[in-house]
Amino acid sequence: MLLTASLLGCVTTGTAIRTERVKAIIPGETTKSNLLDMFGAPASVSARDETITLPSAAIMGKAFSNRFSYKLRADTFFALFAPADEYHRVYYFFHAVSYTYPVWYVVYFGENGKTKIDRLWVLVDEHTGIVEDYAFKRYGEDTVFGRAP
Amino acid sequence: MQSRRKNPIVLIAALWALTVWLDGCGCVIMGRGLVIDEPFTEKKVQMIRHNETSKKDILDWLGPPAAVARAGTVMKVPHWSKVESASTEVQADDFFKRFSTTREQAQKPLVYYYETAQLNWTEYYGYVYNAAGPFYIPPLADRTLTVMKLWILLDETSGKVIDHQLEKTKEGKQPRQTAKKPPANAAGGELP
Repeated sequence: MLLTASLLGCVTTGTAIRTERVKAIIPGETTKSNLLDMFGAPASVSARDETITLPSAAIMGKAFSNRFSYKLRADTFFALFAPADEYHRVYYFFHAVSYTYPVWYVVYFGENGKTKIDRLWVLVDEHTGIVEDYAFKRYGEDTVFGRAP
Repeated sequence: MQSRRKNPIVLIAALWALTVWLDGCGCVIMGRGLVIDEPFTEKKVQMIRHNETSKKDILDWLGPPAAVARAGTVMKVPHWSKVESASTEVQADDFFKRFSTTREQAQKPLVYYYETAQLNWTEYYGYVYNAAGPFYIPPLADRTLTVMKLWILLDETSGKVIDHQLEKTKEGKQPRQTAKKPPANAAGGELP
């Protein structure tokens, strides 16, 4: 029992992204202030051609205890949206749940684990302070866009 | 004669001690498999049809890529190793070289790159319990990192997928699968 309990684990990173809140984002109406009220501080705010540093969502396991971030070109995020100008920024939110569970075999026992990440990218025009579009990808599901490209 | 009489007792005592000692010895083998990040699955990749699947479909199914390669640019490409996540600078042309025979089909070629990783490790724990109390043998661990890499060649002008390649590697080993054959009904050309 103790062994089983010791193998169960769950770690979360970021703030939960609730579907109803995502649906409440209205491109062309929702403001940057509304967005921050709904989801809190983003993991990153990036302009096109910038290089951003993101926290690694998969933190379960001692193998990754010594490195928690990686760099990424922001144009990967802008690929989701229609061409944007220098006033546009992508606000990136994520919520990761890493968990492990025991698996018993005949001669030994094992531990399996998985990291499930929900991701939300929001295109904001900083000049007007208005949300222009968003893309939401819940783990294992297709991406949902705010407006059809 | 006296010593012979003592021998069975000594022998029994020795056997008892050995049994206790052996009972107290053991080994625990523990396996771990962690999916670190899974932005795509092989099932999703099988849905890609050359000259049919659009950039929009790719973004719908897989989300934003880990890297976007445009000719002549340098990219930051995130990657996984056994001990860390990190990123390295890669010349975009290195990605285009993968599509040397099909690149010409795209008026404005573009490569989307995706990566997914799974870490498996097994730990062997040994322990001994004797009269002096328990002590443990330091665990031995064996780790393997399985990484799936996906390159998708797109034509920005038409917005269609021209070609794609899927590669599955285990760290320290040669690629097991170097190219994903296009599906039977794909209109696109064969991979190099």
